[in-house]
Amino acid sequence: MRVKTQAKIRTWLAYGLGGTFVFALVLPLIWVVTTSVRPLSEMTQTPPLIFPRSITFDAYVDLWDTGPFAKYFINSVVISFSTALIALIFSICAAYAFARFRFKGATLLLMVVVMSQMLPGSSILIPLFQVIRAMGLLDTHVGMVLIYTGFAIPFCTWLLNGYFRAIPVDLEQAALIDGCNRLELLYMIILPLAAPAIVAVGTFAFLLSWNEFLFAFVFTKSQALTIPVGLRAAFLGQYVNKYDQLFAASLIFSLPPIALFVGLQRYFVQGLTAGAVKE
Amino acid sequence: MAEVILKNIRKVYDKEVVAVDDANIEVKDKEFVVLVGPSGCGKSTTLRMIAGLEEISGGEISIDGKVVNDVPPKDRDIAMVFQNYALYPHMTVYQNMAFGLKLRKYPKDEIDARVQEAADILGIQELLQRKPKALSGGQRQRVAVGRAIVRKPKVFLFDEPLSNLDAKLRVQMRAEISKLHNRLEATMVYVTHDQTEAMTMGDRIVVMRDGLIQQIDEPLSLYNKPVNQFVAGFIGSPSMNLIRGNLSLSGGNLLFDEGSVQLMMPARYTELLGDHVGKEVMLGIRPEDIHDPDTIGRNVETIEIEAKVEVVEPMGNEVFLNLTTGETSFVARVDPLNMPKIDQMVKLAVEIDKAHFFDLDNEKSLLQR
Repeated sequence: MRVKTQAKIRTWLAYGLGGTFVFALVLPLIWVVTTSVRPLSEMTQTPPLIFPRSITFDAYVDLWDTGPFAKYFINSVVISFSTALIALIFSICAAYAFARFRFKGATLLLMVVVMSQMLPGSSILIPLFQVIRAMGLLDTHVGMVLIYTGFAIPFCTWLLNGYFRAIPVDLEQAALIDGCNRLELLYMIILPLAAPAIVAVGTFAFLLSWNEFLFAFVFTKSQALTIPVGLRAAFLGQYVNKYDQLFAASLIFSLPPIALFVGLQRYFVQGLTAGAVKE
Repeated sequence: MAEVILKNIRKVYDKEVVAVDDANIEVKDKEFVVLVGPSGCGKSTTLRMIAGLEEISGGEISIDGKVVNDVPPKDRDIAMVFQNYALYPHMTVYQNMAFGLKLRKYPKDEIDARVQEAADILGIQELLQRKPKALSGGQRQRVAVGRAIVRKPKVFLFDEPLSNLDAKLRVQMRAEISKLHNRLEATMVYVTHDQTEAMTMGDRIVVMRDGLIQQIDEPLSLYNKPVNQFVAGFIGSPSMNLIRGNLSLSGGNLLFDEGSVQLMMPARYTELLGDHVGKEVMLGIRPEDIHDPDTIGRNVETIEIEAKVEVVEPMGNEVFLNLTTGETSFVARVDPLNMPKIDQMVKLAVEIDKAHFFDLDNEKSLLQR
């Protein structure tokens, strides 16, 4: 009986801790949602109200007049998808080479690739700015894609490398005997098998550029302005603080990544169980 | 179909480790050759060099008269069955089997006909739409074999294809692969570490050890006339008993003296082993050549010895006895008629005519029979 009670207490403790943790994570989101639908007058009230007294969706309508969000949105989509695509192409090739070919300095090279991830982005902000300016790519899509791809590739390569290594070599050899060349082998055997990893890595690269603020803030001005910077420019200025619209816009523009996650969910789940059913 | 010729084949890893040294094998057209040996003997490496999956460090491999040293695997016209099946997990059984043909741009009806034919032969028609993960080990192995036979290659290569199956299934698949060989009349090279598989399946067997070929011969010749102590010990189950002792002359006949066991050899051995009088040699006698004196025929020449029973292993149709006499332990394979008890002293008849003798230094057989 005592054991049962103890187990019960432990369960409730676990739930309690988990609940607190989830609440802490969700709180900002609740704040964003409630602020986006409350009238401006309630926003600056002290003490602040968690739940608005009256609800208005004006912000969701008005925000479209405040800035060229369609343009920012297209910029973000173009840059993020291009980043994901290019990063995938390069990291798949690199990761496969690291996983399967024996060449001099392979280990060292992979280490350098991983180590480049440990450098804080802000520390290379100024030199990178000079490079991009010298190339004439400031405030261009190409410039931003170049930067984000550079950030995404090391991690993508490292992750895919691990996944590729886990694919049995015999499968590849069977395919080589069956008549594949290396390239056919890669897209007919390796890529389908690594789909979960590729989806994960692609999503990572996409989100990296979709959410990025610092570099977009420094390297773009008007032409290649992305959503995060665009929001700030439109709603938070010296004389305006349209928090309701800012939060409404934030919610709207967080929908594409959510849709992406939901759409690709089955690959993530598959990724978790792939190892269990193989062999 | 075709012959496979390995000439002075050598494989060295990292400029140091010699995996295969100076291998010469001639696999005739339509022949079933088994490469056998303990792990690390170079048998798989040899097979993989034939397949083109492993670079050749030296020598020459030719398939159907054409040197293939620099030919990629896909152009060697071979098919291979792997130990862990190596089926493509994202494809159905049908797609797995059709994959090689599709890559070679065969017309669709031809692919379909060949896959159906192979599925018929292997009895896997109802599995064609399944994915590999929905198959049992035996079914997967069948699909792997099917993937090889649809290609109708010049040479089939098998890399320990049965070692992941349970014992019963292994015996069954063994027979099926043999049947398949008869039916397809194909050249096959088969790698295994299991001497039973080698003996039962191979037209000829290549015994390897430490990268060196020990002997190439037909199964029964290997069993009856092993060229050295290694082959003698490797082929046959339970293994041949190997007993070290001195040879001396005693009244015109040779006497093998182990200390506790003395065997007086028949006269004709004097000539064969005369050079080794006064030297130590290794005597080899198979468990099946040590009999229960009661069950032996009258006209078989035997020497009687006495030994203590340590372990009795009844197999049903026969009994393995682990015995000791003095310092020497050995195994006898006897009729279950008079099953002895542990610690009992038993008399045994050694069929001395079947004995082998090996040089202690180079392990070579001393009997040029």
